[in-house]
Amino acid sequence: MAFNTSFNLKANPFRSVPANQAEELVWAGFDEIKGKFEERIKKGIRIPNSGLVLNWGEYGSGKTHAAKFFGKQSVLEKLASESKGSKPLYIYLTLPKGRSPIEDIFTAIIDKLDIGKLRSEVREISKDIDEYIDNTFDDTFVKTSVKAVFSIAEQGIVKRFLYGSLTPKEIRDLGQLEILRGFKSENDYIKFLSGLFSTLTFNKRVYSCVILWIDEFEDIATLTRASSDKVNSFLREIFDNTPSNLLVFLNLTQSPLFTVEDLGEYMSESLKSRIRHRINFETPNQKQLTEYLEDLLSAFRIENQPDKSGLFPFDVEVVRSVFSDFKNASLRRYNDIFSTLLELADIESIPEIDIAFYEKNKNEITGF
Amino acid sequence: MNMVSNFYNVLSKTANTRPYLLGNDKEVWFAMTETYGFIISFKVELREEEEYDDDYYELEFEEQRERRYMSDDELEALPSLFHTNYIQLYTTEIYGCREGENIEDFRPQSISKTLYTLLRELYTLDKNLVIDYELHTNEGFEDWGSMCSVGEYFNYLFLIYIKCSDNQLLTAVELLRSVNNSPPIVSKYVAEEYIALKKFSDSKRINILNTNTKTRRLGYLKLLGKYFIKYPQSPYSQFYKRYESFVIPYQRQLTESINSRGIVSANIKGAANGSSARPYIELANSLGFVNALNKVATASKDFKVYVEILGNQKPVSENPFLLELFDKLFFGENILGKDFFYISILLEIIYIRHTTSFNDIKEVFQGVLIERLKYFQQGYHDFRDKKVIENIKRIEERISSWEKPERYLEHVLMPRLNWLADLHLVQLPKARKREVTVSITAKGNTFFECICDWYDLKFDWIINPDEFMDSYFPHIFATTFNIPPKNDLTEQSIKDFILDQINACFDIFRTMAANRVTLSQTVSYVQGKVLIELGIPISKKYLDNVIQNEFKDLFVYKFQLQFNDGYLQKVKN
Repeated sequence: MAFNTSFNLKANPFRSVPANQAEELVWAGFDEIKGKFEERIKKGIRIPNSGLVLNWGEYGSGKTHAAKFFGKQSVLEKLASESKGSKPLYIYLTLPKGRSPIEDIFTAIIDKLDIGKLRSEVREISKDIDEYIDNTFDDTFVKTSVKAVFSIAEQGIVKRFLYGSLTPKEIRDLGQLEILRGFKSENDYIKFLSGLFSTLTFNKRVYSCVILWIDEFEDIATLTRASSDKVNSFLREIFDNTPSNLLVFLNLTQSPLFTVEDLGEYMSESLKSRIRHRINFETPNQKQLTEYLEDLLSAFRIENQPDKSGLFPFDVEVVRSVFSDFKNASLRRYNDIFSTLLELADIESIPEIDIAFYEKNKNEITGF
Repeated sequence: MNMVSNFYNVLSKTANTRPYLLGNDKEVWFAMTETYGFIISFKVELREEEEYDDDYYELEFEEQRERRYMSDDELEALPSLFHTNYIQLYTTEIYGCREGENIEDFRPQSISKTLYTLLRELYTLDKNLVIDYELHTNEGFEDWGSMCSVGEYFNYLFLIYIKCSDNQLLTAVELLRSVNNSPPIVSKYVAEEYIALKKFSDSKRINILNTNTKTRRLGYLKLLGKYFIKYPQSPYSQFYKRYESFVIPYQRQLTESINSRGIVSANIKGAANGSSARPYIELANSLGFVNALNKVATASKDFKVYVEILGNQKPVSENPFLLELFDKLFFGENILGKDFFYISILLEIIYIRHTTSFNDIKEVFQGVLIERLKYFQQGYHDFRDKKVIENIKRIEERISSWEKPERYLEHVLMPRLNWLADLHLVQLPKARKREVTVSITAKGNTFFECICDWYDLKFDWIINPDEFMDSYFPHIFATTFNIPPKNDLTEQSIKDFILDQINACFDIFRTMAANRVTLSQTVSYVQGKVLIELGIPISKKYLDNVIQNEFKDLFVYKFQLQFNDGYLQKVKN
């Protein structure tokens, strides 16, 4: 779609949901929050302790965006090189809503992994991986199944083994690996994942740490009590079994609930003791909003524009009015507002969005 | 003597007015108006044997939509033609007449309080006189008692059906005179909304608490608060047992101050196993006071507010069973809000009877519940929601099918009567007696009359009280317990106090999320503090409004409808 080039923008920069394309994921403004994430990830790259980070914010405050942004390979590689360590293995998932959350988390994680790539990376850097596995895990099932991931060349077999879809005969055929059974209990899933994470981050050689980023953690409140207990026990167990190099981020909406103050209450005490950091996505003030807009617009500029304001095509008065009219709105709401203004100006071929244009189209924005 | 003529004779002696007729070919109403501000009427039914008598047509009753005074001939013919079984007594208020009221001299007659005052008087006269009563609005109903024409307005009225008993009629009419001399009026605390004809919503969800006859003492809920101060978290598997061990040492305080009914005690071997305390914990669960997440028992967000104030309260008495003002505020609000249907009807029954007995209440309670539930389903005006009606229907069926109502009612009534006694709204005998007398206290009278103000605001009985609770609970509490406002308060000093309390909430109710406090906790904490420390009742709505408008530069206010709650954040600049 043609976009008004007189705005000096490649495309409409305002999105209501985070982009999926890595190159479209840009971080604008909010340096403090960005700094907190960077610092936390860098610590994870350098120091061995596992830990949990809670990201709080209301709907549309940018939590999912942060999750996706820090999953970008370029971002992770940059942080790794700044910390002089190897890059983290990043896994993003949304909290499963089904009845068997542990199995669902396990499946979601396996879905995200490129087993073939992991195998060759590990084999290339850590020649002594089998020895490490033998010496580290005392559980035979964990030992053999983790080894299988790094031994079996045929990826189809590995994935089917992990998904539990191998026939008994096929399992028997894997006899030389001493695999005698498939996954049976929730404990198997947790122990296997811990074994896999520990192996991948062994000595921080191949990967410095595993970042597990769970989005929409607020949905724990909608699970049955049994399921929410299971989610807690998954997290507790995975930390107990992976004492090193695991960094878990949980995105939580600042939502009050029926009988509890907030989602924090859904976390068990043992899990709370794992919390290393809490990152709060506050509602932006006017200065933050302005910086955000300037940064975002600048990332979409076709060319430099030294003679124009960083807010172009928005007049500074428009930003001020939007802020005072929609005080304490979420970032998503602001994105919607500026996006609508931009689209309207594009349709009408208006070169600059001034206060008169904003006032004229206010109804379009407020929706009534 | 024929009832119709008797009725006329009595009335013509006491009220200087002439009866008139209203009717169509199906029914004929015989009414006398301006009898001390009330209308007395009855539907006259054609005597069967006279059904096709020509006289009937001579009277020209059909299509008599306008009132028509009866001629002497007609009056004379009436008794031989018609009979009736009951008399209907009512008074109406024309919707819209409220606009003429002013706030300075606010003294309008309360329809609902007039209803209950009359019922109380009639009950004193003869406890079997009243057959039924109703409170409702009536659209398109010809107005008999007022000079105003109906038009776009509807009537708000009560109806009392009384048996036609010859000898009581004259006394009943005398009652009207005395009630009319000083009619009950609407309380001033609702004046603004009353005059503005503010519409109150009613979700029509009926909430009923689960109770067991044992759960009589609110003091055990207070002790649950103390328990949570000492053990903010306990494994749910041990919760009953630990709570039981915690409350057992208070046995003597209960027996000395009240009696031993509802006591939590150890089993025969002297060990606490949790079974004696179980009914109280189940009640606390039903009230939403306890959370059981991750197999750990903690105080719910609402109960945490109570626990917090309890922890910092300097008690007047060390005996947990003698409730402090704040305990009454918190438990009173929760019980009325979460059990409105049973509690309001129970209070109503006691109010009408003034002094009665447990057995008498037991006899009528189920019937009144069923009648009321039937009424709620009738759809007088805005009952269009099928699901709501179905829910009410289900409750009606459940109550109608109580298998052993005698035993079941013990579990329903005993706890509630005792809660009302703990709140000093009714009085029960201290010692065990075969016949438990129940009487309403002065506070109970005030409390029930305050609920009547809500009925007047709604022009109807209330099914779900949430909006009224949010708007007025502290007011009716302050009125009932006669809490005086502190001296030298200005609007500004009250707001400053509110602000300090809100800021304090950010420390008191801190959670794992930074810079955030749950709205419902803040509101309920500040409300409690302002009432207890300043003697000023403020509603949830008022506080919401102050936070959103006057403190808008200080706090970010977020509300989520699906949880009926929100949170506050301090604005950082």
